Amino acid sequence: MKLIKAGILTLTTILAPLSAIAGQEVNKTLDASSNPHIDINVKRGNVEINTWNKNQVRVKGSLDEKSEGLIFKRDGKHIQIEDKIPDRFNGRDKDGSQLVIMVPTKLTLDAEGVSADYQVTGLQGEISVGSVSGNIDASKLTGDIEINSVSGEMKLKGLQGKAKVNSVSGDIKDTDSKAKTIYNLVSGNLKAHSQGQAIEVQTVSGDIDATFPKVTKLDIKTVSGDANIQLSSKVEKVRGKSVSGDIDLHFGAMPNLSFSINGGPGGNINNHLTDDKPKRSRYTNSESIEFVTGSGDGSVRMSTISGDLSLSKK
Amino acid sequence: MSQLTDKQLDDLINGLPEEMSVSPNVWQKVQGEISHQPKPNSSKWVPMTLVASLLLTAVLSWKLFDHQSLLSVPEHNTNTAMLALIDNVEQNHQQQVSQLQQTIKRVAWQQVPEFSPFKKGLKELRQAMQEVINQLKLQPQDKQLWDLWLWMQQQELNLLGQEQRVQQIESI
Repeated sequence: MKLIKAGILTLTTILAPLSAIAGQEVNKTLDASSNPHIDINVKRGNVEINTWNKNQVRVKGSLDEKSEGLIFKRDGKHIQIEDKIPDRFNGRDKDGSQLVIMVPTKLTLDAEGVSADYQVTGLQGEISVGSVSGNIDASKLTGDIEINSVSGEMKLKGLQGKAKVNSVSGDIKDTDSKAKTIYNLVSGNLKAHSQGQAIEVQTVSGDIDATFPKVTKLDIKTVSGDANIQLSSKVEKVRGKSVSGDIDLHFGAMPNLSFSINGGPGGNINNHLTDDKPKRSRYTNSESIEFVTGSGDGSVRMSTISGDLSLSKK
Repeated sequence: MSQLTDKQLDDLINGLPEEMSVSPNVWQKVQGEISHQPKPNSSKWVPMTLVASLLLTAVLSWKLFDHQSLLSVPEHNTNTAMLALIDNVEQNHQQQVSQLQQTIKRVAWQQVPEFSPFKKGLKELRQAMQEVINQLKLQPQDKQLWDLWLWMQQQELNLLGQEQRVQQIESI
């Protein structure tokens, strides 16, 4: 009997810390150097990263139901935050970590997850946030920014500096950003209203619906996705390439551009800007058109193999 | 897409490396890859190394041709040389893709197409690449087709690199 009681006591003692860790509430703070390098690895759940006016990093919230412990340590400028869970895990995402992390405004950040959702706001510096299937909300970030997702949705707002946004099948929504931006999509769609001046959009089959009123340089590459883009008359350089996707450019006012559009062997050119009509090559049967609007200071060069290339003015 | 004049061909041969419309970041990395020792095989660098090898092959292949003699060579001989270059570049690219794919472990979700955004994306990309190659073989002197094709090859390598990275994140 005594042996059984001792056994139960031992088992309880061993299991107690584990059960205490899983789902455990945490509220820990570490001092940080100025401009720290913070690595965050939270596989599932929800992580909110906000800034405060302190040279400290605080982790507050609850750990994953399967948590094996929170790693929260500092080594010089480097701070590591990880809610360690088994490599293979099943279960719902709401069983995951629910954390609010306060960080200094200026920093280098590498945050990644598997199904974890991330909300990141107000940071300045080199910022990289990635999740495989989690959603990412990033707002008011300034600096060298990279956002990656495979199938999660991305909502971006007010990015400044330089941004690279990569998605495989997740959709991207970007509003009021001023960053020099590269959007790279495979099958996800992009909806953007950006104030950026230099924009690059690359897509395989995802569609693009964008308004870039301040852009001066625009580069579009699409395989089969369609791109519908609103521009102002201030644009100076547009380069567009398509395999079978359509590219529609709409100008708010008549621009000052020289146009050279090549419809390829199977594409079509629709010019609603001027009365110029495409010419068809006698030998290759491809359409092409060249004309100038206004002073012709800038240039638009577009080509396709079998897509439709359209130009119009609102 | 139109045939090139002799002057345009001359400009094309002289200008090809600089005029490829690849983003500046890729060019900086490619420059670094060509001028430095080979780096350890990590996921972030594998796609860039492969892109560098691909572009180096393309550049060297171009340089093998004496462009002066090309101007006096009948067009069909130029096209023959270009077709050979296309095959060479494609072969090189497929070797890079195979090497990269060997580093990606097969897991259950990759074998179920509807659950794999990578598999779907790669399939769409490869189908379109074949369309571009077919067109390029009809018009091998078309620089814009070359630009498009090389970009698509880079996209394929980038996608494979992302897939590898996802495996690392998921600790598969």
